[in-house]
Amino acid sequence: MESGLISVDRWRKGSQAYFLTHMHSDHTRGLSCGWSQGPLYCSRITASLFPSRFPGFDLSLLRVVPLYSWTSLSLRSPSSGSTVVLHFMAIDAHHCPGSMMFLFRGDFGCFLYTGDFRWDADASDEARTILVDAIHEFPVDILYLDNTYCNPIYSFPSRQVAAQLVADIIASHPSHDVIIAVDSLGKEELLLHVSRILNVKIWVWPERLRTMHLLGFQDIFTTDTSLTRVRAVPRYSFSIQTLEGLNTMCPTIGIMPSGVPWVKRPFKGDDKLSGSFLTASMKNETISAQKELEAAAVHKFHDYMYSVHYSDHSCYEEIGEFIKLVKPKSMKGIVVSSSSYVDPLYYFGRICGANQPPQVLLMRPDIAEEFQAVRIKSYSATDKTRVLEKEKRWKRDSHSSLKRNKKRALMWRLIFPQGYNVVYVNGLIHNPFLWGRESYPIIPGLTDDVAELCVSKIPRSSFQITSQVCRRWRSFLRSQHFAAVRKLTGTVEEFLCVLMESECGRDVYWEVFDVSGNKLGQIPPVPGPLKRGFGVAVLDGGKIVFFGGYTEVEGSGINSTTVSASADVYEFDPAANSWRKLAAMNIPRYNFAFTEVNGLLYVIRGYSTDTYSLSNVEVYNPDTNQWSLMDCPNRPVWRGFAFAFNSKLYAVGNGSRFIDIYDLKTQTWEELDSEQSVSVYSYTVVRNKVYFMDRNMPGHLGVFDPEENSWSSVFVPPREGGFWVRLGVWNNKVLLFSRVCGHETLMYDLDKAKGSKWRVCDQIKPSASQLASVLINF
Amino acid sequence: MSSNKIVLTSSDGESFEVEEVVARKLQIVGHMIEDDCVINEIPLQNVTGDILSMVIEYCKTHVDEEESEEAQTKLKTWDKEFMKKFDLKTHLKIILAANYLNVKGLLDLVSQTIADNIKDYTPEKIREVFGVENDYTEEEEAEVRKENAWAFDEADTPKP
Repeated sequence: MESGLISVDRWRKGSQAYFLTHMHSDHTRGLSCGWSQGPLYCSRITASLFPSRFPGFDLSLLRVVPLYSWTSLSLRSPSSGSTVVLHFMAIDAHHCPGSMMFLFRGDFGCFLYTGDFRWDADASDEARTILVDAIHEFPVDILYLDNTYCNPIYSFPSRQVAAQLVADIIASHPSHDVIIAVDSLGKEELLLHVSRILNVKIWVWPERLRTMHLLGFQDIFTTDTSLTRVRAVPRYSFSIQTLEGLNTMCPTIGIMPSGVPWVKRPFKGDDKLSGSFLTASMKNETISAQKELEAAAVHKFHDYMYSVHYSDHSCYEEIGEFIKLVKPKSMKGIVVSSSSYVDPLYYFGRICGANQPPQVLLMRPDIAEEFQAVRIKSYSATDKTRVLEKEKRWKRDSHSSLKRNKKRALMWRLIFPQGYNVVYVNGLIHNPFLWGRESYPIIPGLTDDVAELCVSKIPRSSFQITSQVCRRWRSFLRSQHFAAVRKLTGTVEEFLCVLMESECGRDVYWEVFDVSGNKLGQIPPVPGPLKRGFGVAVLDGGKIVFFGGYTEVEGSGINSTTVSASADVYEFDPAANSWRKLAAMNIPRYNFAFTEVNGLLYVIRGYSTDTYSLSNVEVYNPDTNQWSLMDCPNRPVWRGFAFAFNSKLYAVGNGSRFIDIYDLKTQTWEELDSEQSVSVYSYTVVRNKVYFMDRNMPGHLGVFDPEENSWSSVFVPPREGGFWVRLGVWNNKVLLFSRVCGHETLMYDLDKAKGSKWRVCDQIKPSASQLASVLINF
Repeated sequence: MSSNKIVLTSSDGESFEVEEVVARKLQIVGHMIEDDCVINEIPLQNVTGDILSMVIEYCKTHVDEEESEEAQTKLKTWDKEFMKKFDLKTHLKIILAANYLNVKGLLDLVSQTIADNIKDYTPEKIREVFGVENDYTEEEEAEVRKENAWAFDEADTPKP
């Protein structure tokens, strides 16, 4: 292919389309915040990392490439001026999140550019099938290959096996703290595996936490040092010195996951380890050598330090297998600066049937190379008395976990002296916030963690103003990381979310108000067709759940419609500002009563599609995303309402004087004679009292006090729009939304003296007819 | 509580003798005391004397955190007045010190103060006060001005 058409992982001027395989700094050298040479093709995940890696980058340049489908591009030949059609397809490279290989074809032939890739047998089934099909049709002329470990000395197990080895090492040190070296992206699966197997959270530095949030990992990772003994630290801060420093305070081991035997010289007095590694890898052709390989995949070359051969690059064998599969006419290694660079043709040339002479290219090690960033200083023998002293201290301290946690916090402050965001690299202080990205601070003069703390305390109603400051502020305010910081610092605000309908279902949308009544905007509509008889609840304090209901389906007869009940459940996460589908209920139902009790959602009775009245309860557990069914007293009631009081579920059915009470502790139902039957069409709960509108009591607001088992009612001042209202709660006041568009909202203030409890609510002015309202904390 | 005295030394060599209970409000020092690694003098590398004296003043006032509502209100008023004494530049220095010394109450107080200021400013004023550079193009700025506070638009998730 002639030059001036496309560039892959190269960012110089002069190409018409640019391709990025993945977001590692050695592939983005030359990319910057202000780069604007042309359209940039990458995966969705890579694209999502752009705002944080390159703040201010012109996102309109990004073109998200889907996996496994051909895309065509028309380019212009710089020499002849004629049109060149380029077809390309992305294939999962299994290197790090969002990494892709690119297969290009056109009149010029067919090229496969692997980027960095790991071809482990278990990770690449789909990629393998698609690739085989594609190259069957379009044989590859040139393979641009990730040759990082293209040398038979590099032999290591699959990532699954290696991850288990890491978990084993940690499990065999139950009272040690653990640090694991990682890069700014990649090895998430390893950390997830460790977290899952050992049931621990994993500490990461703040910048990395932001990346984890962008990748969708919400709960496993933390920046709180007191929550876990396992920490992922930047590779550059991982050294014998760091570990020795840590060990003066708390017994700590370090684990370096890498494919490189990154200590060339064996550790003093222990040359056996490296030796056995090399011998084992040389004879690993047979499966019986697998065990030996696993053993060789772990090195302990220091009291505190282990190296585990967990690699995101393919090992020698996998490279060979890959080349056999692709059968390229020729190939080129894309890594030219690796310390042990070998032209892939040297070992695999025969597969290509290549006529190029095989050659060994041994390049000088490049100190900028990623895995060279870790330097192990020679280690002097430990003074025996010092060890004994340390052991004594550890023993003395181990009795108190509280003290241990405090110690841990101290330890990080000493190792990272300016708070958690500064680390030592070879004796120099480096700020990870400034590392690996060309960025300016949120607030000049402050480290980003402190600046984030300040900005997170600005009320949301000011966001429109603060977003205008600069790109960095805007992208931070709208990031999931920001939502996480707010949650962490306890800066949450309460929002009233009102579901509204204009002109009988023509437009259905949510409007959001803050505590001062500022209208903040809209929430995207619930997916799917408009339903009636649905339920809306809030779980986990901040997520809206929308469940059940029915839609009307045209029947066969004239003017006949039938009701179709739905079991669908959707959840709105304000941090993502989007809806996602949750597990469906067991039985489609509508016109049910519902309430949240102790974190679980109870959906009681209701009707199914055949208008058959149901006498059971569905219970949703948000932790497991599962619905379970339980029986409830069979009572011919419709809709009604439910609420939680003293950890008990109260279900009040319309048309019955008996209230069903479910005790969560004893898991039994009992009934309470309320001596009154109701016909409630809207209700809300404020301070353990239920306020409701009853069809049989027009002009009154009903009140039920579960503590006293007493009913009462207050007179609603007459006003325009009639009595047909729906209730909501806001700032501990009962709101009466008019069902007729354009009429004002009435407010019943519990804290005001008798006679002045009613007033018109000036702040909450929904723009349409209210269907439901909830309060969320976010 | 013992009435031990502890000497805190700032990066520019200024020394402050304080009661141990006050010094313990600096969690970094508190941990050191519990860890028995404190002799009598603690060098604090990242704080200058003028800022350290302000932090100590805060800690002295907050040394007995009484539960009573009256005492809480009194402290709140003191906090407010204390913050009013300093300009933004000093606020930024205090917050960095509070973060390094790990004085949670002070960290919360200063960050809240800074946030409260920001919330009343115009974008121009925020840029001016904090020295943030406006990197929007005119068109972009007009776009951003139209966005509302809640809804995130699709600009953050580029489309193919």
